[in-house]
Amino acid sequence: MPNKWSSKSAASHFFHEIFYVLIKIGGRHAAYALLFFVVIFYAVLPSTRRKSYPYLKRRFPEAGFWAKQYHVFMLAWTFGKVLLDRSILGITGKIDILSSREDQALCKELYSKGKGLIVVSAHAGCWQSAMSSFDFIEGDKYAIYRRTEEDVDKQAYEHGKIKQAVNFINPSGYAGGAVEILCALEKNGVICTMGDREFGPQKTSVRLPFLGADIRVPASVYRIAAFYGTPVIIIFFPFKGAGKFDSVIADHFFIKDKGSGMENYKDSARRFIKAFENFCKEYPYQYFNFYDIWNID
Amino acid sequence: MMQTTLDEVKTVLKKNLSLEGIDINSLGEDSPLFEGLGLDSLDAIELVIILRKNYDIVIENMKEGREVFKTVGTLRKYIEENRKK
Repeated sequence: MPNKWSSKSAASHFFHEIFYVLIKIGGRHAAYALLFFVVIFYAVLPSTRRKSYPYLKRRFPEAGFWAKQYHVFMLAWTFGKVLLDRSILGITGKIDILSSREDQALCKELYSKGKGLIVVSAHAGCWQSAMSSFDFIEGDKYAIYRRTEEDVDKQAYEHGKIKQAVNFINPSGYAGGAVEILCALEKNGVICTMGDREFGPQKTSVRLPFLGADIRVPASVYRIAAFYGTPVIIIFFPFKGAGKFDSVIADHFFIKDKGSGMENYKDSARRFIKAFENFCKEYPYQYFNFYDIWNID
Repeated sequence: MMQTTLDEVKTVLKKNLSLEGIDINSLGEDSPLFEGLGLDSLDAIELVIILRKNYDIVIENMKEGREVFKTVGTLRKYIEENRKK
């Protein structure tokens, strides 16, 4: 079972370039057509199945052999389309964001409090495209994002067609990026972080059940929100078909400052997990997690 | 400028950070904070919060943060020069 998380891309730089060229020449449908066959190839690889099972076996505990193969294919197929759409956004600048006016108004209202904004999402749906086109929230935006040299797939803005909408804070950098996060909030910035996966030391997280078994859920961001009085929004970006994604605010709240212990912020982390479980129920093939987050002991 | 002693800083660190296995009395001006005390991202958050809450000091940027949190001594000096309470 894969225990160590890696951002290594499944395909090489060369194969990514083939898709980029195909998008430029043939457009989205040509790229999707090639993707279909690539996904069939990947879906039968034992390594793909092994990496997909930790999530799929909890999301579909009753699935038999053939159902499992179908779920692996659907997860890889959706993931492939989401990645392609991110490239298409970067190359052509085209994507439809279906965010509701109510959600946009809520973001503006919370941001107007002058305490910055903490946006908590997950490695699900079109989160990377969303970060690249996150223009309905005002203020300087910072995404906590760890990327290694093995991750050769380009971010949308790296294709040159769209501007880089967010600044990246590396959680593997100095002091885990904590100083940069706090500096950004002091300047009324917007921090976008992932609430589903812990990258820092274990003491920055709390233990909570997710899809029937415990995982470590990041909690330090809620500590920061509590101290600064920063509003938190839990938002997901479900893929809604070719070139379309939605932005759905699942929850929002302020947190009372209860001091430094992470256990003091377990309720906030639980609210995230509850919202994310609902997302996974509604969009079962959009949680792109390929390592065993349940293997924590 | 309000004087800030090494003992005061050490007391604040001991009170607010989880310094397991560290003899706080052995710390000097030159003791590195992150490598020496084994502080991590969570401790960095608490350090910034301590500065804000106890001394009304705001770290302006990452570069400044790196300098301030280099050693116990740089932290003490920064507090002394910038504290508002």
